[in-house]
Amino acid sequence: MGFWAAVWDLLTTSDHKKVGMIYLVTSFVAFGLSGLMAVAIRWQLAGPERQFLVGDAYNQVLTLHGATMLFFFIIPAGLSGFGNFILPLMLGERDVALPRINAFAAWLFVFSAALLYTSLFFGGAPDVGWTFYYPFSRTTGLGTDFFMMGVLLVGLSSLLGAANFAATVYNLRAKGMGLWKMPIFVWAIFATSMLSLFALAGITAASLTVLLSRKLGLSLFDPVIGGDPVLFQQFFWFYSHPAVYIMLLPYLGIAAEVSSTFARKPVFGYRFMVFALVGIAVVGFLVWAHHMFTVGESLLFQLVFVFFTVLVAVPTGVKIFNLLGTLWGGQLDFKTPLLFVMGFMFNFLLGGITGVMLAVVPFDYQVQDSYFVVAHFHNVLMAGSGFLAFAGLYYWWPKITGRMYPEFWGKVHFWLFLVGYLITFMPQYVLGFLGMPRRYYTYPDGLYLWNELNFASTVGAVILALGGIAWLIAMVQSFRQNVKAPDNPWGGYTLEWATSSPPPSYNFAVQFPTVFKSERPLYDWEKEGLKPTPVDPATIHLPAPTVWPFMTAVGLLITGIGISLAPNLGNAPVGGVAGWGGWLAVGLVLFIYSLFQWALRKEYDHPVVHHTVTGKSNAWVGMAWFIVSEIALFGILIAGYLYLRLTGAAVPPEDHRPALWLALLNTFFLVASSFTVHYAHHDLRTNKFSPFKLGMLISILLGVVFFLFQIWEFAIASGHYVEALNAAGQSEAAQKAALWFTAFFLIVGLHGAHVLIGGTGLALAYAQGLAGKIDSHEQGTLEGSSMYWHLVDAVWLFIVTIFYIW
Amino acid sequence: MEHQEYIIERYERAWIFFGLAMITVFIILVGYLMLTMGNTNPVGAGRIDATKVRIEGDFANPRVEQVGNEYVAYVQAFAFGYLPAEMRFKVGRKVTFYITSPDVQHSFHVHNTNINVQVIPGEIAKVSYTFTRPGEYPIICNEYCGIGHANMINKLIVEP
Repeated sequence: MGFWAAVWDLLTTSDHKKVGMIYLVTSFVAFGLSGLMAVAIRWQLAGPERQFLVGDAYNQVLTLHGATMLFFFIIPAGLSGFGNFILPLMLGERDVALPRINAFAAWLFVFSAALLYTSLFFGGAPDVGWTFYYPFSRTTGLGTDFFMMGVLLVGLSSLLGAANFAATVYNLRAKGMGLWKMPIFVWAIFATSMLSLFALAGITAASLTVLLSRKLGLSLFDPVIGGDPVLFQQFFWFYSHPAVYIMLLPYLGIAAEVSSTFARKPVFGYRFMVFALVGIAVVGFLVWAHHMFTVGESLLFQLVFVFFTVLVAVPTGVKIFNLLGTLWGGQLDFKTPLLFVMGFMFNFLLGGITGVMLAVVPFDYQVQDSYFVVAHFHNVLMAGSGFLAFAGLYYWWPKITGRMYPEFWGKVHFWLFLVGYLITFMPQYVLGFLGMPRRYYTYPDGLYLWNELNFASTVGAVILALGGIAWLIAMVQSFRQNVKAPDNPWGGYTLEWATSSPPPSYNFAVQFPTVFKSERPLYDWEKEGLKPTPVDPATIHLPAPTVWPFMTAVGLLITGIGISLAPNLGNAPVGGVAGWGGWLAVGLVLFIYSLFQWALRKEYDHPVVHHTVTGKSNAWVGMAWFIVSEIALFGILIAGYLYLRLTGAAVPPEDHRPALWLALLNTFFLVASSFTVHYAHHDLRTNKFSPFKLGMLISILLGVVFFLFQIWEFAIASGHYVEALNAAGQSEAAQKAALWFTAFFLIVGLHGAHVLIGGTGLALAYAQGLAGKIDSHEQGTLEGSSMYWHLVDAVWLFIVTIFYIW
Repeated sequence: MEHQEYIIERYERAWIFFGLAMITVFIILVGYLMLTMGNTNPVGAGRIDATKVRIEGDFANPRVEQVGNEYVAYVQAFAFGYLPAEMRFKVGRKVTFYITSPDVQHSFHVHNTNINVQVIPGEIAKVSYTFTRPGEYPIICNEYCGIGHANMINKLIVEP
């Protein structure tokens, strides 16, 4: 295959292994890149008053380092990268539940990283810090717009990926594999996906409101009209703390697999391992405010969060002890992956213990936002999750590339990373005690031990960089030596080792036995003498390649650039960059066009009968999980509104309230359209095509009428809003009305956007109907979009109650 | 094998109960410390219009006031510095700080004490402390606030 043919194959593929490769390559490149930024940061801080990287340049590098490592390395590498490549193999399946959505999510992920870095061509990277606290984030430069757009797009990609994983685990498992017989890694990905779906709304709400605040001046947080900046922190940490577990759980799964394989034992306490994973996922939701101990909340509020923060250490401790139990008494084979797991155990324990220290509020007051915190989270993320990312990389390297890697360089990499890590971050704990705050680009000379410890830390960073070079050598040597990997080089017992290295596009040309006694099927089958029966590969049909998911993602990238460049009309007005309208128009047109082309391209060229575990279609299950995230998004914004309303900060204007009769009329249109969609779907299932098409058309038109009425209503309301805003300085009632209007535009407008999205979904199904590409067997688009439409309807009833009636 | 697993699960359950008991003790201790050790919990002391911090009210005139045997300090944390420029207190007397910001979020961290308050525009933070040792205490901002973040330094002096 020539180079261009290979590129074309990559752009059009929906093979989960290639999609996994897109994630893995992007995220490990991101790791290398932002690792170099970290070395630059340490170089600047090697001594007092250095001039290597100062001021805004330092702040930009700092922000990019944090954002890239978190959003583009540690979250995707384990979850999306190894998850996509390995999870369907472990389940003994040919692909994920929604292969084309999966490819779209992967490209969207790549492009959101690209979007973040595009800011460099338009006046500089974001310099807000990865936490983009409001109101600071509304005062900073254009880079912040790119950052917010990038976060929104990577969030969408993450949600689609998570819904896809949840549907895969739910619907596609080898026949006979029960939930309690899945490998720990699969459980880890499943738990992480659920966590993403429930929590991601927080950061979507935070970044969306910051973006709207910059672009249009709409903000629930603006203190000038009585909004509450603390609310931003609540939104932000509602995601960003559970995100810590999103960054950890997939890697704990990797640790369990690696320990089990290299200790030649099954994992110790399988059931407790799973309980602990799910326990971490649940308790992880209840700890977010421990980032906010210095904000000035009440004593009880703080104690509750202390309690849950400490509580989350229990399931985490269970994981550590179970890993120890797995290794205990095993025939340990000290290959590179196991070394990384060992390094993880030691370091993660330190990170976990310092985490519990930070939960002690009086101690937290001492070290909040100091280098102690920096050392703590690098301890858990870098020497914790990061080490396990490398454990996974070396462990599955033979399976993924079909080549062995040189063990020597792998071990050099490990030892340099371990030593470098300790020398870099242990001094930072001490620096935290000595009062060095984070995000300082320089510090004065003559402070007790600051010079020495900072210098030591920089030496450690250089050692880490050398470790990075050893890693590169290991990979390059693997390709140069070209030692063919056997199917099962480590003697693993999960299903990914039951196929060739690298696996063929159809994964398995066998029918597996349907007896699953434990999470290690290969061991059980060997013991009982069960053998898979071969299947003729010619009878296996895979999804047809299509470029349109990729093009749809390109459309969103260009749209994202357009929105970022658009003028800021908010609190710090800036004119847009010339040509922003062009970017926006081209992006939107390309997006819509590609989306329709995608919908009109059938998934399979050959008619395929799908077997699913639940009996529901993959589209149905995928959308059901996706809707969880939509409910969470509205839930969190409405919670913010309720808070502002109940504390009396936001009060609807008495004389200029949006009209109730119009809302009720719109309710009628929307509810009616839900019924017409329902009947249209019914007609499709009974093969009545003309009534189906008519029903779809009526539903879409009802949606359009709703939308037009809403635009009219917004046009009137915006006049009253501007009036209230101008009077906010003089009258308290006007101020409260302005905040109420802000919440109104934000939440009702977001619902309007959902009407648009849902309507587009219906239009896609309608187009499929017109082109004759939909029938009672292949109707995924309609199943998804009609369920989404019912959601839009249900949310509207809620909105009518809290905005028009109350 | 089954029997062995049962024993293992029993140990694990015991371990979890031990962990939960530890947490209970821990929470009681933390609560006790927060209630008794010097009252350094920052608390919200009302809202303020951030646009008017510099022109009207107590914060337009940042100062230290002596009220009876105690001090009250009104502090502005702004990008990038603190007002009043220098604060002086006598040792052993209770000081109550009221702090707010006219622009973005900052923090008010007095070195070698437990005073560490996030300063949020639009909100007034209140924290009390009794300095027991004379000397110079640096005040720093540890809430990232922009290009001058590293230079946002002040000090207070506790006189014997």
